[in-house]
This record gives sequence, structure tokens and C-alpha cells, in this order.
Amino acid sequence: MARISLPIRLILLGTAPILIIAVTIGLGYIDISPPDIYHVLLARFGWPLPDSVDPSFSFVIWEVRLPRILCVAMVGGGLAVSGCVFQSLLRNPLADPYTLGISSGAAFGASLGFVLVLFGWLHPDPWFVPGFAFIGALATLAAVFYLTAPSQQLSSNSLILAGIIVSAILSAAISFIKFLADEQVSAIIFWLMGSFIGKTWRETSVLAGISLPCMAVLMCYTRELDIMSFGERTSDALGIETVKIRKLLLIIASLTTSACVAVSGIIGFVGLIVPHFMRLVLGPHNRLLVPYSFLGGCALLLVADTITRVYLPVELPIGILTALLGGPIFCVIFRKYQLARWRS
Amino acid sequence: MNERTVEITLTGVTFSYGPLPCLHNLSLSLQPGTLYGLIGPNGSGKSTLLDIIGGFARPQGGRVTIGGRRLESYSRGELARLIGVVPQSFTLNFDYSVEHVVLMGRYPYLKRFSGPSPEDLHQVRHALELLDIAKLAERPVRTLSGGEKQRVMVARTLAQDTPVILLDEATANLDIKHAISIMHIMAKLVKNSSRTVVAALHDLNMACAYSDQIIALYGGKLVASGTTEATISPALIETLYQVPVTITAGTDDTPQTINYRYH
Repeated sequence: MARISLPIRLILLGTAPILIIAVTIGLGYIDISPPDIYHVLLARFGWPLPDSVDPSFSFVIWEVRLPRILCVAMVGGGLAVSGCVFQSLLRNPLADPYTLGISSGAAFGASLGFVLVLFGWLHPDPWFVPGFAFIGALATLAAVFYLTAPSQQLSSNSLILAGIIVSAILSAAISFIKFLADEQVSAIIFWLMGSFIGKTWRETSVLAGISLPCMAVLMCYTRELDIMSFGERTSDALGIETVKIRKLLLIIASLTTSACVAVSGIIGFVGLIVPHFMRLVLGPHNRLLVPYSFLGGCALLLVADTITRVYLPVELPIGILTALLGGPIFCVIFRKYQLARWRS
Repeated sequence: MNERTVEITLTGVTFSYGPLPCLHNLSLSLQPGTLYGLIGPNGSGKSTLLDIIGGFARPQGGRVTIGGRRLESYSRGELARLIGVVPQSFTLNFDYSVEHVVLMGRYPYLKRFSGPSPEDLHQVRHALELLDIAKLAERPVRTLSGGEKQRVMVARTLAQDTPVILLDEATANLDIKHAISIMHIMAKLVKNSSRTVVAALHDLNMACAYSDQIIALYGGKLVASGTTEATISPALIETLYQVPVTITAGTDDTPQTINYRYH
């Protein structure tokens, strides 16, 4: 990797998601050629659609594929950035967006939403499950903060431990809900494994409205993230209001994660491996890691979603694919990295 | 180089961790242009005292002033431009290079959306050269030995360019050459730019060699303070460590030496 200069690496990594989006728009049950995509996109802005282009392509691209693809990109990017931030804040390379139990909280909220609809206590509405998931995730974060509050330091060990405790309790609660759901349990399980089936502009715009401002805030604190990975004493000594900024960044990263999980279900591995991969390629500086983790997360999840959407006979839950795709690649990179370090 | 000087005053400072008293009614005045050797056995309150001066721990009683202003009235950013701290050790899980870690010392002077200025880069280069680690600049800190890492920490604190430097047993992990080199650099900073250095030291001969003043703590209480020659005595060392010693008086060229009687 060192043979490719940093600017070239940045350009390659930066253009990858754009190229993937450009290619994946055309792929699906109906293949649409690049010129037709070009005409359909222009037609949206008032240009005439040539007669040779099937008018239904406009619906397929604008109402089916583009919202889903952008939703996938934002979830992938959001999870990867959250993972990157959690790893620096918790000073733990094994941390990911779900370390504080946010995924368990979202899963519990979503499962609760499912059974409430199932038992007829709530009228079915497409927003119930994501809404409950989002509230569940944020309530979990509040519980973790409450548990660690007496120390007033929000130390990484206390946060991780509180996350594990809350996750364990919520996992038991989810199992109980699955037991109650009986034959309907498969719907819950499928949601828990993550999917982008039927995502519309509504989910995409809500997600963008939450995660893009969060990204902007995180980008303002990349220097602090670098310093905070040395620990609280160092960051205090260098003039950072550590506890205040750690709390702010944990809330922002958790908010992003909660929005992603509420929209897509629980997609593992993206938040763990993408920041690691970017760290190996670009170095440890969050100034580059945060934006490029976003792009890397977009790229990985888009590839996984395209495989499940286009090439598999049935849509697999995407969480399975991200782990199957990303895991082995990460193993190879990690092994090479360990060898290089050992030799040096 | 920093030309600012500040006086630090502690009046009746008391601190405890829960019911366990750590510092009791401690009063001190730390003057610019002085290197203070902070000595005392383990648990005597040396690190706690440094924590209080650095603003990391808030005393339960008494008050601390820096440059005539109460310590609590300073923001963390203001304190970081006044007080630099070298910890005893640190852990790092990511591969930051030596140069970048030293550059972090300039954080208190950087504006949010701007990069390091030529002055910042000059300070970093100067600190790297002073600590003899310029050749390691590109190396990830994680791959360095314990002693090299400690020199990086000292370089980062020098790059921070503060009028007050606190060393919390910062030479404990270093071989004698590098320990002497760091104390020598501190002594030069004190002499040439009137800094205040407070160094918690376990090596009493190092304390005698480099300290202008000694602060001796025992059980959280100040048991002695004053010029090194006047303060260090066999009776004081025996009080602090319960180890019998003899002291060889210093000359113009050599500092006084403490000789331990090994059992």
C-alpha cells in the first residue's frame, strides 16, 4: 500500500463509492444501460426523454433504486463513521457502533413495536418499527450514561462495561419478545439481521436529515479525537474539556447509529472493519479517517446490497453478507499488517 | 521560546480520595526560575499534589492560585498554555507517528479549522532535536521502547511551551543517560527562560543533582521544604523512607550524594 502515494489513495478511495453508485443504479431485475440512466437523470431536470428510453425506467431509477442506494450508502457511511469515533473515544480498536448496546436497544424497541402491532395494541404503520427502534437505541444510551454517571468521568472501561450489562438485559428481553411472537418470530429475526427492501425517499431523507449534520459535527472534532485516544489525562493536559466533548461525541455518534439501525435493522461488521481498513491505508488521523470511513462504509454496504439485490436468487439479510464479504478481506489485510509490523 | 512566568501558590490545600486523606493543610509557593524536586515515599501525595497544581483534581479545602488568579477560574485551554505535564507512562492503541504526537503538544495554540503554523512546526522540530528523537520522527510511537516513548512525551510537553512543567516520575522508566539528559534539559529551561519545573522523583541523587528546592511529603503532609543543600539530611531521608543513609557533601563540580546502607 505504501507504494501508492497518499493523494492517489485518497482519490481512489474517494471516487470508489461514486463509481459504485453509478454502476449499481443500472443493475437489478431490469438492467438499464448507462446512456439510458443518463437520459433518465437529465429528464428529471426538464430535459426531454428520448423515445428509445422506456418511460418506466424513470420510475425504476427515481422511485425504487436511487432511494434505496442512497439509503444504503448513508447507513454504511454512518455506521463506519460511528465505529471510527467509538474506537477513538473508547480507546479500543475492538469497539464498534454497537459497543454501548445501541443495537440491543434498537432491537428491543423494534421487537416491541412488532409484538404491539401483532397483538393489535397498535395499528400497523410503517413508522412504528423504526420509531420504536430509534427510541430504544437512545433510551439505551441514556441508561448507559446513567450507569456511568456517578464516576463523572465517562471512562471507556465504565462505558463498555455498562454497555455490556445493558445489552445482556435487553438480549434477554428480546428473547422473551421472540417467545411471545411465536410463529411471527421470523419477521423480527429478518428485521434484526438488516435489510433495505422497500426503502423510499422518506426513510432516506429522514436518515440524511439526522446523519449528515452529525457527520458535520464529528468533522469539527477530529483533532480532539486523535488526542483523546491517548486517554483523559493527556487530553485534559492539552486543554481539551475531555468529559464534555466525549459526551457530545458519544451522543452524536450514537444518534447516527440509532438512525441507521432504525432504518435498516442491525448490520454488523461495517462499523468495525471499515475504520480499521482505513487506518491501515490512510494512517490513524481522524481528519482523514472520519470522512474516508464514511466513503468506505458507503462502498462496502453498496457492494453487499448490490450482491443481495442483483445476484442472489433471494434477498439475504445484508448483515450476513457484510460479515461474509468484509471479514475475510479484513483477515488478509490484518495478517499482512501483523507480518509487516513483526518484520519491522 | 516562552518568556511568560507565573507564580503558583497553594494555601491550606486539603484533598482526600473518599475517606482516605491524601494531602493535609498544605501550603507552598512555587517561584519562576526554580526546579523543585518533589520527594517522598509511595503514597505520600506527590502525584496528588501534581494533579492539584495541574488542575486535574480539585482540592476539598484551601485554595490554589496561578499568577494571582484562582485555579478554578482558568479554562482547560488556558491551563494548557500555562502548565505542561509529563506523565509516568501512557498507553496508545493506534499508530501515530512520533512527529504527530509531539505536534499534539501545540494543540492549545491551534485554531479549530487551521493547520499548524511555521512557529508550531519550529517548536516541534526543536523539541525533537532537543530530546534526540528527530531520527525517530516518522516511526509509530507504539513501536518504540519504553524509554523512547517517554522522551516523546517530554518532547510533546516541550512543544507545548508552557511556563510551568510538571514531571510525574517522568524519568522512572529511563536509563541513566536519558534520565540525566531530561533533567539537564529541564535545568536549562529553568535557568534560561525562568520556567517553573516540579519533578516528582524517586531517585534522590537525581533530586539532589538538579533541584534548586526540595519539597518533601510524608503521609500527605509537607515535612520539609527549602534549598536542596539545606533540606536534604540523613534525618529527613530516614523520616521519609525509614532507610539509614549517609550524605557526602557536594562541591562546586559535584552535587551532594546520598549513600544508602543496604541491609
